[in-house]
Amino acid sequence: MPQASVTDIEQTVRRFVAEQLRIGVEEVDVDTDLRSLPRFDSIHALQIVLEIEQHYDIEVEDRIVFETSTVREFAAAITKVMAEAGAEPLS
Amino acid sequence: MTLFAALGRVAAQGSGRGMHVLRRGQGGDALSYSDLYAEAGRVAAGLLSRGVRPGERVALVLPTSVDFARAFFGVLAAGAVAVPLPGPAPFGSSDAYLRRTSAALRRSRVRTVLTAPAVLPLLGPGLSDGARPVDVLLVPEVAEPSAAHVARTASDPAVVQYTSGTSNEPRGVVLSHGNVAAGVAAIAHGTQLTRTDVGCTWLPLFHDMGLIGSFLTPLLHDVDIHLLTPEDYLRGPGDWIRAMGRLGATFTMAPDSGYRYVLRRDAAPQDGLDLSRWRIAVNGAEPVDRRLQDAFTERFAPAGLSENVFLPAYGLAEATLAVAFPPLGRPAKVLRAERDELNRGRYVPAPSGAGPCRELVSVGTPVRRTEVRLTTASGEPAAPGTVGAVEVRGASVTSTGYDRHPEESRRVLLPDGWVATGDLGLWHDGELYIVGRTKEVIIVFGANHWASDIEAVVRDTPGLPVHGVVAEQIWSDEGGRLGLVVETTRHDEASRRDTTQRIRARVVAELGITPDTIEFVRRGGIARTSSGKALRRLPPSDTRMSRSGT
Repeated sequence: MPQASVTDIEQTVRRFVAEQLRIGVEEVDVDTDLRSLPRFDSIHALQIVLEIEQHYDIEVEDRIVFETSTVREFAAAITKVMAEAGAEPLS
Repeated sequence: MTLFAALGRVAAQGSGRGMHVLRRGQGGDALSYSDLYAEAGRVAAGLLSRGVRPGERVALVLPTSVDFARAFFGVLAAGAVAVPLPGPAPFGSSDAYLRRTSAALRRSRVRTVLTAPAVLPLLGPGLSDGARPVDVLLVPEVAEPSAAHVARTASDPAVVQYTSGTSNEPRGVVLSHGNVAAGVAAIAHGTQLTRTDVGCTWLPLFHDMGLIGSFLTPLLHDVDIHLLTPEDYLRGPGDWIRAMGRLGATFTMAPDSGYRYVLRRDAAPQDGLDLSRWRIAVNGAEPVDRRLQDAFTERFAPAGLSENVFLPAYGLAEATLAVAFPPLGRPAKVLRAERDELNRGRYVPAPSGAGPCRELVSVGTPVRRTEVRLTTASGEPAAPGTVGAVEVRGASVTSTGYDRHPEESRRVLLPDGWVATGDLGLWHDGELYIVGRTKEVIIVFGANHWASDIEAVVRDTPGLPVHGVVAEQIWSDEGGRLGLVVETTRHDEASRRDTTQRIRARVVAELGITPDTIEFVRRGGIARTSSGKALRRLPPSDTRMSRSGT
């Protein structure tokens, strides 16, 4: 699993969100409510989660994104998943 | 016969066939129908010892899983009525989710909810039916060591099907055991289902096409089913097609958008993909687009997909599911209608090659034990080629309407067992063509959303000077989408941008869908009736207005 700081993760999330929604990365601030962005619906949300999963080789359970609404919150949730995954021995 | 007795009959065959849940494209949990029968009886015992009474509504908030099947038949075995409801959507608001779920629970007087560990933390504390606390239970914890079974009759209610997931004004169709049994029998007959068939679908099980078509129909005919979760399908729609090939699946069903999404997201078929056993792709819940069907079969022809695989169907939850199917294995029958004449209620063939026309795809003839009639505005039967309101009657059609909603029920229940569908259609050459609808529903990715519900959500956006709003159906190359027309007194660009963002955030949080377009009009720009009710603008006349399924 690649090592990544919270800031790295935030930048990665911003990039994936922008690519998925076909908007400029500058439109995706860390504190933007993702739901206010054009085309952002539950389908695109799942695709963004998938990109993140593949990039970091983690599995993000659906429940951790229920209440998430900004890049900052999402990145924090990913950081937590990575920390938990890293603490377990690889099988 | 009740549905639990029907499952018992399947279980007694001991064929070893059953349901399989795929996880991320791979094998997951499996449960044979024989084991399902035994285990559902144990869930029933647990429900009964918790005081669940015959006829009581029990909600299922469960992902696609073997526990859904245990819970569904456990509720029926207990003599109770299953109320499948959606789980929370990613990036949704849990407040909104709880509020909407509670509205359905109150409506159906639900005291017990069966759920899964992933959803429990969200549901647990906040749920109430308004008066008493609601028991939220995990399926494995309800099951008891010995089984129980409460006898019911075919006319007793079995399922309450909430037609648009949940909304602030929820409407749940009450279907009896007899309705559902007739409904699944009609689908099996229309698709010539046999035990050598294999189903593979991803539709959510709280959706009528998912529950009735892709789950109960094969299950009650002892046919193997493989279910992907809708989330996994959305992440990688190609996994569905690859699973169809790997499993030698013979049938599936989805809305038009579901097939469209595969074409958009997935590249050419991989070497080794074999779709030659796939014989039926039911296309329902949305208007059927022949061009989409052609593009899909063309894309997968190299993998051996039959060019006549599509079955454009018409149905609705009020009729359990299927109302009309075309014959199997023939090309789509298409009418090219002169648009202005069609808008006036009459089919006139468009001159070939030139001028604006609308393509209408035949949905065939009524399924077994179902009647369809078309009625003009003056109450007369519509002559062939003339547009009329679609009305249905038959063994699978609800006789009671919506759960504890007499006002809405009266609106659709007509004399002599007929039910108004809210759709418009015409007969041509003995076959049914759906041309539009009168009900105010917006379809997004095969799911129905009441326009009034969407409009209320937009109007209630905090801090927003919205005066009037109309939700509109858009058909794009991504399928059914939402458009909004919003009256506002703010005209500068900055405040419109702010308003746009607030509306989007609120609609996604509440409904999980987003408006593709938001058109601002000056105050008074939306026409109103004398009572102040906003007049919906007429749907745009495009080539994709025939509507099928719900």
